[in-house]
Amino acid sequence: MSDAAAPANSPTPAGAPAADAGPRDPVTAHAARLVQAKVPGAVVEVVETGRHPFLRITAEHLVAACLVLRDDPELALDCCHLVSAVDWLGKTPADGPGSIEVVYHLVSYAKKTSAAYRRSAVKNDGFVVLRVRVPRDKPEVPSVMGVWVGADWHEREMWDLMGVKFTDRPLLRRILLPEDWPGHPLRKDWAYPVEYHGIPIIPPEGR
Amino acid sequence: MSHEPVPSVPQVLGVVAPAVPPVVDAADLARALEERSMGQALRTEELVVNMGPQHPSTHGVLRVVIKTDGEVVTALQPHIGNLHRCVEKIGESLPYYQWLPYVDRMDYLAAINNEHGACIAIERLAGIVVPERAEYIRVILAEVQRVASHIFAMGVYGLDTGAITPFLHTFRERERGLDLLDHIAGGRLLYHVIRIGGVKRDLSPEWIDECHAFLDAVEQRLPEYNTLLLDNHIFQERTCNIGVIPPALAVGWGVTGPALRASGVDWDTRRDAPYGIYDRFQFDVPIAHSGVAGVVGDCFHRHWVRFKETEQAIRIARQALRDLPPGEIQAKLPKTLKPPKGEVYVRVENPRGELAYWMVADGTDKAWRIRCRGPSFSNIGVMTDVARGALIADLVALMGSLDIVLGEVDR
Amino acid sequence: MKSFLDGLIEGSALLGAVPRGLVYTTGILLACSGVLLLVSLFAGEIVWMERRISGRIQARIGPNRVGPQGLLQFLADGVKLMAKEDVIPSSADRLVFLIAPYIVFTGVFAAFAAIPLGAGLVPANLTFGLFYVLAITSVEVVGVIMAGWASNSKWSILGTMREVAQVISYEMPLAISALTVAVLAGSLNLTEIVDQQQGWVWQWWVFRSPATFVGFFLFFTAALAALKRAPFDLPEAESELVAGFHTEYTGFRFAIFFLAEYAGMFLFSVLTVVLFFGGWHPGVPVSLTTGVGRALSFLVLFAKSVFFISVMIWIRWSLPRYRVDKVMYLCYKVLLPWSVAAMVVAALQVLLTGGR
Repeated sequence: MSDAAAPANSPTPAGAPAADAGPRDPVTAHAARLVQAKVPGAVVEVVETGRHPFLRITAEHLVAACLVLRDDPELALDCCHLVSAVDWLGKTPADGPGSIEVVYHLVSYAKKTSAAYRRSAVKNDGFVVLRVRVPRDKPEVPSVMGVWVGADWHEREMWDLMGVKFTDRPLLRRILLPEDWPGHPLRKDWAYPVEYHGIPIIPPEGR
Repeated sequence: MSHEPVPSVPQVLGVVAPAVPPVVDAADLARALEERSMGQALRTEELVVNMGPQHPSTHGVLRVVIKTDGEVVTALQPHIGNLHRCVEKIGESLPYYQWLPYVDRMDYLAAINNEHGACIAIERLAGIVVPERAEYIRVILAEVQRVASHIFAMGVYGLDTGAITPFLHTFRERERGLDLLDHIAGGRLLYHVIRIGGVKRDLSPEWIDECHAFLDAVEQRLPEYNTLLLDNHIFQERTCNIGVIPPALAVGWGVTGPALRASGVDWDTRRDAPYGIYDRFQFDVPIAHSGVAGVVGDCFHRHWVRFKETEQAIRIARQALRDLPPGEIQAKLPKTLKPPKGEVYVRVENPRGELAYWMVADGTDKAWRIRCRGPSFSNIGVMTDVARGALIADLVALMGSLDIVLGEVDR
Repeated sequence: MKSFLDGLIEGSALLGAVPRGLVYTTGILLACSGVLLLVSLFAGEIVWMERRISGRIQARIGPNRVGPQGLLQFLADGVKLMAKEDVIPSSADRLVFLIAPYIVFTGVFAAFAAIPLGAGLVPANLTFGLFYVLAITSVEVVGVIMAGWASNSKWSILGTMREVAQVISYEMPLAISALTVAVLAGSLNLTEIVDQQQGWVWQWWVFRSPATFVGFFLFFTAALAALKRAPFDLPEAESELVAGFHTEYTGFRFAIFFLAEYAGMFLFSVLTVVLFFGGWHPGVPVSLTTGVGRALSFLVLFAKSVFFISVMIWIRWSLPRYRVDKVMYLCYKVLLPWSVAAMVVAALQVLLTGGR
């Protein structure tokens, strides 16, 4: 993209493009082996290399897998940094009605604040990414609120904006939008309502 | 650090039971009151009070429904969303270039830091290399913004605890910082100065002199703020041992930033997972220790960490000003930015905690999905667990010490 | 007052022709209006003082546009507040809501009846003046309870609960520390207490006994709390309770609350000066009892009380607010024992030395 090259003295070429076929991520590899061993049938797909390694987990085994990952002394993933979801409508034609993917970014503060990490030359984010793919017409994912209490509001937000139904948890109700707001706006097929309580709504492209 | 899985979820006003009992001495008071009223004919009623969205100390349009027994808060439930402006939805509807100004509006007290993270995320997606000088300018601006944001937070915390004067004193210095950013960006609060691939304007020598003067002024004033707040006996009584967040609870809730370090967790993204050029600077990460006053994790330490971090931000900004190399400030970019398919997760250290962007690009000029993790969003959640049993005054102290910005909670 | 009017009647042929009852009534009404006007004026100027001093403390200017140096700012504020709509919440207890500000106002202003504002310048020279002042100021609490209750607002109720707990508790250390002087002076008459302090500075009660020296600090602290001034401004803590008991008040009624608050500041400053700091005696042995002296005596008292008002303002704009339980702790576990101890010391001193 850019002609400007980073100077030679720069220890980290900031923003430098990382190759997709990068080195193997040992943390994800370990996590994958662990979950495969302890929760059979949970891991659908593992990508250990590249910029964004991840584990794809089946929805029904999610909580068990999360508990394994959290309680493993090697990983000690004690924080659910972010729960997000993406609507793949029209991007994965093989799925038929399409799918919604819920993505968990997990991180370990216990490991990241350890003396060993402080000494290590390589400093990285060290996220373990779990992905759960559910059909668009029945987006039900068990809640991980019992594993990481911080997932509570994130899950509510994903229900509010994306319409992912997190099961086995209390109080799954809208958090940002009004209770009577129509639909889940981040769904790709969500249509702007004409009005809300008499307030006309003009979508960005105009009406 | 270990976590007790949340075993049962009794609903008190829609609130989930705390994983860790609140360590507030007012809780003892509440328990004593409860024990005393047991078995007596006199029945007292709990009062449900709506705190906000137009309350002076909810820092914006936060609404907290609190159940009080006299002055003791027995349950509370924050209601957010009054300031929801669909940043994520807008991000999917607009090209990357055009989305960038909206990021400023999330944490409107640290707009530069928001831009910094967003630009790094988009640059990583598109594989853009930022010129060296631009990287330094970014750090300088981000740290000036951090200083402005932290002294603002310190002053406003004085307001929350009932001292109005420190607020105006910190505003005097913050105004200088905003003037600095105004000179370079043309705006006082929302700048849009950090652009994809560089920065909008170069720093002039006069600006650099003025920036040094600002940093010196703040450094000189910090002890003055401390005589008004940090060293003040009444302030210590109001904040020490109040709203204690144990480290395990903080990590579990995803609390980040000064609030996390105030709980004794030694983590700063700038040092431990550096982004931009933060690995080139020498700075300390202040961690709460009980040698100051109170206990680790209380409101006092959150204020204390903020004060210490201001010093470190000044230090980083000075180093960046010293090392500022000559050269370009903007990488050459195409008219329409079309990052290749892929995704990116970038977290940056904002004054309020870790701001993270998760972006999914589909090869077009608009992102397929953008998700922003606002630090205040996670920080505010912990309140439901910590505030129970506190007095109303403690609730205000706790909310102020978490230093939330509602623009970012609601996004 | 009666003797003063009698003197006038004796001295003037014109007044001698008028029935005595009429002279008394007119005289008392005139005196009342005079005190009311004077105190309201001072209260207004204290508002100005507070705003200017806080401006200085906070690195800003403060009001300086209306009149010289902004001195007439309070008039502009008053006009503004009077022009505002007098909102009465629909769920309020109407009658109680309406009269509550006047009760507060009455409680403070009635106290000035027994306050000597200069040599011989006392509307009612009561033998139990100190007792009367401390008692009548308690009426203010009733008004605040009425205001908070009648507003039918949760924040007002919380503010009222704090007010009741705080002000009633602090009346004890306030009264007991004032009694240290009364015990040593052997009198509750404020004029007599002042007269005993004539002479050099060390004749002032605050310097005449360790009991009164401690008593002064206790009295001043308790007065701050009784006045709901920061750091004890819990009943109206704006960052916690929005505005406490006067959340729902607007316009003129709100102005009345404010007037009462600042009049209260003036009252307690004068009381501090009268009890501990020599009243209208300037600290050098001169007699200020006749003619110009009386006017001067008033100025001396006024100057001293302005000093204490400034201290109150200074404290308010420097300190954070105490928490409600700490305020009660301070009252019952610090101020009350100390004031009782001070009074016991004062009583022992009287016992051992015969009082002087």
